Amino acid sequence: MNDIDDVLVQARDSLAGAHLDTPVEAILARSRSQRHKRWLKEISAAAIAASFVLALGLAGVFGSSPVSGTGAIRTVAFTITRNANGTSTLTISPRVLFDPSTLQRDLARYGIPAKVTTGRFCSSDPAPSGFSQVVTESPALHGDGGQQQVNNPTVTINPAIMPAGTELSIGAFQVAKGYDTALALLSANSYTCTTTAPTAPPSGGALLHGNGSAGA
Amino acid sequence: VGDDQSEFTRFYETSKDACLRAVLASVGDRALAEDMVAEAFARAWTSWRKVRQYAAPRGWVVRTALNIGVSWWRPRRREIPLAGYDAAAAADLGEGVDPVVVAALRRLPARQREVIALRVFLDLDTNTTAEILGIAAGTVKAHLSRAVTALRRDPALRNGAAPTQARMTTMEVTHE
Repeated sequence: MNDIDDVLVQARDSLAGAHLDTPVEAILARSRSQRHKRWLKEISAAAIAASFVLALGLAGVFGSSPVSGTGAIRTVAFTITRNANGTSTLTISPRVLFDPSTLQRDLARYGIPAKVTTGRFCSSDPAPSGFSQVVTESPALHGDGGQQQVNNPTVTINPAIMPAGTELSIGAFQVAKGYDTALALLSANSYTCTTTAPTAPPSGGALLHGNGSAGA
Repeated sequence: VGDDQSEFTRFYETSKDACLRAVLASVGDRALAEDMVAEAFARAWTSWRKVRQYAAPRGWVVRTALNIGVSWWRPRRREIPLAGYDAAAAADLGEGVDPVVVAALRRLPARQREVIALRVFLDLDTNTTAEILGIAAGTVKAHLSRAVTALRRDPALRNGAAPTQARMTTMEVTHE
């Protein structure tokens, strides 16, 4: 304290009569209380997290909201499965119309930029090339205009090879036996949309039929 | 655990009064200071195996108490009056404390009070004080120098209310 000015020494001395009377037992008890509260807080946080996951799971079962966590997002209207090679497999129910914003958001979660619509379909003219590499159908179609019977239309999408500035356009239309879904690549900054239901695969794209068949 | 508790008890018994005075000088409210210090010691015991290794565990307690004052007491609306503080302070400080000096300390900027708490009331050296506060040693000296200047110019002290007023107005700042 030799290097401290006397004015500060005097200030210190003016508080010399202050003593803390709290016994150490009270401090130790306070510490135990803190640890107990922290433990309760951690337990509560874990319970809330578990409830949240459970709620998401139930919501997925009932189709109101997707669930993720095991590499798949499942709703009544569609399922997206993330594959080990970076592609994602999209299966669409031909009998349940998907919510376009939900499907678009969930595709984005897996790195797939998409414009998803119902009752209209958006496309670019000319269509960006590469659709057949980006989107493959399971089982594979055989050239433009091919038809194949499938129960639930399924496509595998590889976002890594999507040309820059493109999005995957997905448009669903109600038809007599369910829903047709048109797919194509579009230029994000240049496209038009139509409300006319396609009767044939769009240029450079594919059409998944609601009656269980697919064409491209 | 038994050895740890004995060691902590010794630390508490030998440090609690100095820590209380250091915090009291900064917050100016006896009950508030006692609670903040008790809380800080409780946290020190919770993390005692880490805190015991610090160069200045007392400094950690005071620093923690002052941080508690910011983060923990604010939501509890324990406002510390500044304007017209002197009259209120006398009732809150308890016996053995000069309310005029405490009020003068309370009028200093927070950082200067923190430096005084560690440097003066805990008698820590400049480097340790700087390390605890996370500032440069030169900054600690500057804050201390400004605090001395401000205390000398404080009207309440100049009016002779403090018992050490005469010395306060004649001493020069001593630099290390």
